[in-house]
Amino acid sequence: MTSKGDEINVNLMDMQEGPSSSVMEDPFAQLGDLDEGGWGSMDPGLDAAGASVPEESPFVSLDQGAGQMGPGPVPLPDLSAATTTTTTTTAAGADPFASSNDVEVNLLMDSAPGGGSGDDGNKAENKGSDDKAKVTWNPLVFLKNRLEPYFDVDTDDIVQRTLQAIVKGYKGKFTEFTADKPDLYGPFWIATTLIVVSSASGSFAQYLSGVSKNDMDKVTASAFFFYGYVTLLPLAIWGLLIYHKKPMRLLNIVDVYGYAMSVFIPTAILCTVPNTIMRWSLILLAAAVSGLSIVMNVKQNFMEALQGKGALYLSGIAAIHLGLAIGLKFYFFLY
Amino acid sequence: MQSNTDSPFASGGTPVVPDDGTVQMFTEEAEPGTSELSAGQRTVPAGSTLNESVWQTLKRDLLQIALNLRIVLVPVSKQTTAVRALREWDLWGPMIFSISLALLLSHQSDSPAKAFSIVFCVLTVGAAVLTLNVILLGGKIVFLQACSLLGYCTFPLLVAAMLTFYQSMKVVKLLVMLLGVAWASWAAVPFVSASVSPKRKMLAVYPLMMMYLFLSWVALTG
Repeated sequence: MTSKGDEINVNLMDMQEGPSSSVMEDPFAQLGDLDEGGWGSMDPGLDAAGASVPEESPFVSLDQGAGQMGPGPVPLPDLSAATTTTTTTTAAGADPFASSNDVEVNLLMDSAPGGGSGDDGNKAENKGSDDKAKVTWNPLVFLKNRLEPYFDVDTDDIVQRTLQAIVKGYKGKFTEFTADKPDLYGPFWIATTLIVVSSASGSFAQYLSGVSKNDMDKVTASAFFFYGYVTLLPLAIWGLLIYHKKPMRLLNIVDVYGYAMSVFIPTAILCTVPNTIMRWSLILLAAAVSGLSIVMNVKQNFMEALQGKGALYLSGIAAIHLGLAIGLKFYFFLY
Repeated sequence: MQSNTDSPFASGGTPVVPDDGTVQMFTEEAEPGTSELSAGQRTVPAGSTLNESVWQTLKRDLLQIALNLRIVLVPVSKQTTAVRALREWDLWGPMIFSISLALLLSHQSDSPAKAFSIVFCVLTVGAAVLTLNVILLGGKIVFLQACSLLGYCTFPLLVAAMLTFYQSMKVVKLLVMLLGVAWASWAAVPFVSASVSPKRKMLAVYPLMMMYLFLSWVALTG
């Protein structure tokens, strides 16, 4: 069997250089080996990327992370070794699925993306020492290089994430759901949609009740409200969590807030109906659903940091969210 | 048309210095005014535009704008639009259209200054943000060229706003603006959706539609 193992090695390495005479046998031989021993019979020095990996590589990541087995699901050893050794954006050897308790690891992960709100000094450093060696002074190319990983989503992903945040928000599993690929597309375009929809609905509601006031003010005010809420509050929570030594990735918090706000889109459209009771009930329902989603998704880190007093912070977050909803109702749908 | 670098901004790092001494960035395929386009179009010898009369310069640029309009808005076939996509892009046309549309829409508003700035910002920053959106979603387009194309695609909205300027019935205004939105989308959506992978088509097209609907709402209520 060793000779067949050697044949497999050679052919997989040479595959790019054209068909060899023994190619015909090899697919079946490989299957035969798999039948016999499963993964264990294959040479552990070979992984999907064809790079040479040390002997005990399938278990390295678990050993390094043994002290910090997070509550997340434990990944398959060989797959995570193959991917984490070749990934440049995650910290080396880090378990991508654990909500890590290690301050150092998370800060490393935080400083690389920064969620688009990192300071310029940070960006300048990373630009020079970027692993991909794409040093550029062109601001647009720089933006593209930094932001492209956060737009790696399909239409289906966005829909799934929105449903996860709204319908299953109470479970608090949103961060795990988007653990490997948090995105910036969702929060930004949901906030922009909210601006358009709320200013249009607000002025339509005014029109229905006969009042004619400035519509353009609504546009600028709603831009201020929604963009500010989705950027400043996650920033504040992120700072608080770092202060209490249970950091969470800023991008994840922005995602939680962004996708939770999507429930206000149908609410704003429905609030054009000039019935006061219906408007209030819609607003309060939307605030409850989104507030619950936000609180449940940031709850874990707060509760781990300060056992009892974490609830204080969480109720503060919920109160601010309720305040936003009531302010929206009074500003856009007063008449 | 196909650039040989991956950069959508096509600067390539080495600026080309044409004969008349100016330095151009973003020179990959679109050098406005110095192309080798098919016969029957005007050809400009590089380096001798300094001695011509002002009217000749203006006329050349105006003709270019009209030509680009025709290419973008009345395509011969869908294939032509998606593939050729404004070989000689320029930003004069989009600027004229943005300013005109903003002026028009602010004229009928209660707070003209605010309306003007909102419409102008949405048109210009919106074109840039939409192009950046397509690029970040994996589309391989040239940044300024796509901004130019999106700017040209707002011309139908300008036409619709001009037609309904003195119209007081909201329903008629709404219908005409929606027709303008339909025409603009017909021109812009194939380009945008062809640039990204099919699984992300909606993600790229949706913000575009939102921008057009927002502008038609501004035209409607003002």
